[in-house]
Amino acid sequence: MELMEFKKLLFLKAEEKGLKEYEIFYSKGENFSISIYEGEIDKYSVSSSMGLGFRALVNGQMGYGYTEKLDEESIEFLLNSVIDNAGNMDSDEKENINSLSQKYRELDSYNKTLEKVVPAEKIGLALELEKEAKKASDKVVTIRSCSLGTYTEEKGIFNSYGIEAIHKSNFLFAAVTPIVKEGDEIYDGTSYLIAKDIKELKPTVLAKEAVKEALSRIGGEAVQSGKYKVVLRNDVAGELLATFSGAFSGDNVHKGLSLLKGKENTIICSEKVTLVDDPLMAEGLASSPFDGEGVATYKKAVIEKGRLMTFLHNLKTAELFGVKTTGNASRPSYASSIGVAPSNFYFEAGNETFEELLYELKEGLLISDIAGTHAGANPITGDFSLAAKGFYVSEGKVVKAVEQITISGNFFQLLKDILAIGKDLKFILPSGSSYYGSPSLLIKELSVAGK
Amino acid sequence: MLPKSLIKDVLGRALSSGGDFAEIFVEDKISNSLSMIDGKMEKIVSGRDFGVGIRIFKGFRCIYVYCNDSSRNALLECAEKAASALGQMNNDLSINLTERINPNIHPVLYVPSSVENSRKIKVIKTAYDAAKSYSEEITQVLVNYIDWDQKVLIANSEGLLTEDRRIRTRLAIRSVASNGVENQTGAEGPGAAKGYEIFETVDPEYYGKEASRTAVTMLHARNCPAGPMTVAIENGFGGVIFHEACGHSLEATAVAKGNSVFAGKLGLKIASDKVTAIDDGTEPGQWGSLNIDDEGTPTRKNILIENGILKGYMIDMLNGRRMGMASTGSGRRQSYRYAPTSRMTNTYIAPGEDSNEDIIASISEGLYAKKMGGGSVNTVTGEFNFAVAEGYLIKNGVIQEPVRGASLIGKGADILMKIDMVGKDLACGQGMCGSVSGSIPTNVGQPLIRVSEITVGGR
Repeated sequence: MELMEFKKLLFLKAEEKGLKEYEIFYSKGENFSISIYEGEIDKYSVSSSMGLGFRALVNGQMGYGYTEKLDEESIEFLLNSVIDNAGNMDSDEKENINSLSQKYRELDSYNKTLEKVVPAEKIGLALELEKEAKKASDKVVTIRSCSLGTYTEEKGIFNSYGIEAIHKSNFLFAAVTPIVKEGDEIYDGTSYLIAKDIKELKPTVLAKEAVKEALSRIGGEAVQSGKYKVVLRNDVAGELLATFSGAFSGDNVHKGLSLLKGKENTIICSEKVTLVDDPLMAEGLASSPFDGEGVATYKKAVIEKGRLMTFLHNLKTAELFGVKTTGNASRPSYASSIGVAPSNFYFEAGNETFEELLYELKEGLLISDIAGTHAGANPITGDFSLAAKGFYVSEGKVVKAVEQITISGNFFQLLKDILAIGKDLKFILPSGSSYYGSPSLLIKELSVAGK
Repeated sequence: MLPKSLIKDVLGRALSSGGDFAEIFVEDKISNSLSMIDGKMEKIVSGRDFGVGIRIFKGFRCIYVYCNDSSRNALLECAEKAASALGQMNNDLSINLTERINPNIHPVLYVPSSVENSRKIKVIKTAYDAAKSYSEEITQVLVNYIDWDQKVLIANSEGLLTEDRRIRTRLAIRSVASNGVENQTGAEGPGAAKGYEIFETVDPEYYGKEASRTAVTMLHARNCPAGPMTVAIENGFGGVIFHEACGHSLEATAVAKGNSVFAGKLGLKIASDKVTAIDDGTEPGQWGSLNIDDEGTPTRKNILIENGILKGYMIDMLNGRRMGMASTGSGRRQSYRYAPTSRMTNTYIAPGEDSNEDIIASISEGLYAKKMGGGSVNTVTGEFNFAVAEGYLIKNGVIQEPVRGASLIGKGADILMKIDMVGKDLACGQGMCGSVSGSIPTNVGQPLIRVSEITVGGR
C-alpha cells in the first residue's frame, strides 16, 4: 500500500475505534554504499526502506506501535497495539499530541546534485581513496576499511489536529582506515568526511589525514599513572559531550537521572563555556525545522558563559517544568517513543589555535582518541574511566605517542576545569538523531592510569 | 512467508549477471517493549519489522540490497538492482530449492503475543518493588521488559530453503542510589531464548535487589586507585573480558583479511594453558542460541581455544570463501537491514581446576571485579577496554572495601597469556553485542579467573 493511502485508511479506522487524538511519524530512506578492498569493490549495498510509527491517546495515556509493512493486517496490528498498550499504562506524566498550529522555518537540507551522482563516480572516488591511502607512506601494509556512501532520508508527521510536516535531507560519508607497521607493531588511524556536496571529497587529503594519524601512533607507550593536565582534541571532547548530553534533558532531570537538577540559572562551569543547540544549522546532520512532535525548532544556548540557561524539553517535560517546549522532542526512528535529545549540539569555538592550547598546556597529555564510552562512562553519575591514546607534550610541543592508558574523571567537574577553548570546532559522527561538536579543550586535571 | 516460485525467480534474476551465489533473507518480527519508571508504566511500544534482504556473491565480492516491500515486482526489482551492480544482465538462472525443516532445540512454552501486557507488568512491578524498597538511598528505578518473536526465511542458490523462529525475552533493571550530591548505579539484565516461562527460573525480585545492592554499595565506595594490578574477575558477565579481549578478534570478520592479531595462528599457543574457550550456539534456551544462523547453517559448538592452543575461528560463508574454510554456523545479523557476518553466540571460558578461595587468597594486592559493565575492542591492535560495575580491593588474600569507577584495559594477545588461574563455577551473563552486522543477543561467561597483571583505570 502507498503511504498516503495507508494514512487515510489508518485514520479512518482510528476514528471508527473512537480514537480522537493520534499521529503518524514516518521515515523513508534511500541508501547506497560501497567498500573497497585491495583495489576492488568488496561490498556494494543499496537499500530503500520505510517505516511508520503510530501513537494515540486512549483515556489520557499514549499508546505506541510501529510497522514496516503497509498492509491491512498492519492497520489492525497498530490500532490493537496502541489501544492495548495505552490501556496498560498508569503514568502521571501526560504525553500529548501537538495541537498548536506551527510556523516552520525554511530549511534546505537536501542537495539535488548529490542525488544525481552516478554509482560509477562514487566507486571511482572510493577506489582513489584506497589507492591514495596505500601510497601515502611505505609503512602502510593494508587498508582495513575504505568506504563511501550516500544517504537520503525523508521524514514526516501527520496528526489528527492537521499538523503536516515533511523534511528531506541527504549527505555523503566517506572513511578510510589504513594500517601501518613498524617492527612487529601495527597501528591504525581513521579519517572521515561528512558532506552535502561530493566536490568536498578530496581523496588525497582524506587519505593523508588517516595515514598521518596512524603514523603518529608509532612507538606509543603508557605513561606513569598520576594526575595530568590535558588537552582533549576536538573529536574527543565532542565524544564526551555526546556521552553526557543526557544530563541536559528535562526528562532525565525530572526523573532524577541528571546531576544538573536544580542548577538552572546557576554557574555550572567555566565562564568560557557556551553550549548551543542549533537545529537550523545549515550543514548540521541533525537539522530539521520541526522536532519529533512536530513543534517548530529554534536555536538556543543551553549554557551561556558558564550559566545553565535551560534544560531541553519536549511538550511533556515542558509542562512538568511549567515552561515552553524547546522543540527538542526526539524520535530517532519510527520504532522509538518520544524522548528528549539535542539536535546539533556543540561547545562554541574559542579564540585559541591548537598550537596555543598546547603551549598553554606546557607539560601534560594531548588526548586524541578514547574508546568504550558506552561502558566506561555513566551519564547518570558523570563518572568516566576510558581507554585513551594521545601524546606526551613537553614545553608545549608533542614529544612522543602515548597508548594503553585510561583517563578518569567526572564530566561535571571537567566542565568546571576547562581552562581554555580552541577555535577548531569539529562535529563527530552522528548518533541517534543528534549531532555533536566541540573545539579542543584545555583541562586543568584528569587522572591517568598507565604503568 | 513467500511463495517458493517467487523465491526461485528472485534468486534466478539475482544471478543473471554472473554472480555465483545468491541468497534471500525474509524477516517478519513482532517486538514489544514495556518500561516502568517511578513505579508507573510509562511506555509500551509494540512493533512489526518486516523486510527482505538479497545478497549476491561473485568471488569475494558481496552485493547486498534490501527493501520492505515483498511484492513480486518490488523483489524482482531489488534482485535486478543487485545483479546490475555486477554488470550486464543476461538470462535468469533456473534454481532448484529443497526445503529443510530444522529441529527446534529452543522450544518456547508461552509465545510473547499470547501473554497479556498485564502479566508482563506484574513481573516488572515485582522487580521494581524489590529494587526500590532495598534502601532509602535508592532514588530511582527503571525497569524495562522486552520480548520479540522473529520469523525468518532463508533460501539460496545452492538449493537451501528453510525457516526459523527466534523468541527472546529479557528483563532489564537499573537502580540509582543517591546522597543528593553523587549518583551511583547498578544494573541487571537477565534474558533467554524463551517466552514468558523464563520467569520460572529468573526471579525478578532477586535481580531487582541485586541492581540496588550494587548501586548502594558503589555509593559508599571510594574511587578505585589507578595502575597495573592483579585482578580476579567474577563469573557471569565477567566473561565480557574474553568476548572483548579475544572473541571479536577470532571472528572471520577480522581474521579473513588479516586484520586480527590472531590471524594465521591456528594450532599455535595464544593463551595460557589454563584457557579453553568455546562458542556454542546450540545451548537450549540460552540468550545467544539459535537453531540455524542467519545464513541457514545449523549452529554448533565451536572450540576456539583448547588449553591455550588456537583451534578455530568463528566463520560465515563470505569470509569462509576468503579463508578457504567452511562456515561454522556463525553468520549473524540484527535484521534484514544488514548483510550477515561472523559473530559470537554464547561464548565462554570453560571451567578449570582452581578453587575460588585459592584465587582470592593468592592475591596480595589487587582488585576483585565482582560485576562487569560492557566494553569494546579494536580488533586490529587487540586493544580492549571494559568497565567494572562493582569492584573491591584485595589485600593479603582477603577482599576489602568496595571501589568505584574502575575500568580495565589491555591488549588481547597479552591478556590471554596472563589468565593464570581459572575457577570451577561457570556462569553466563546476557549482553547485546554491536558490530558491523548490527546489534545481536550474545551470552558471555566464565568461572572466576585471575589475571596476573592488567592496567586498571581509576582515580
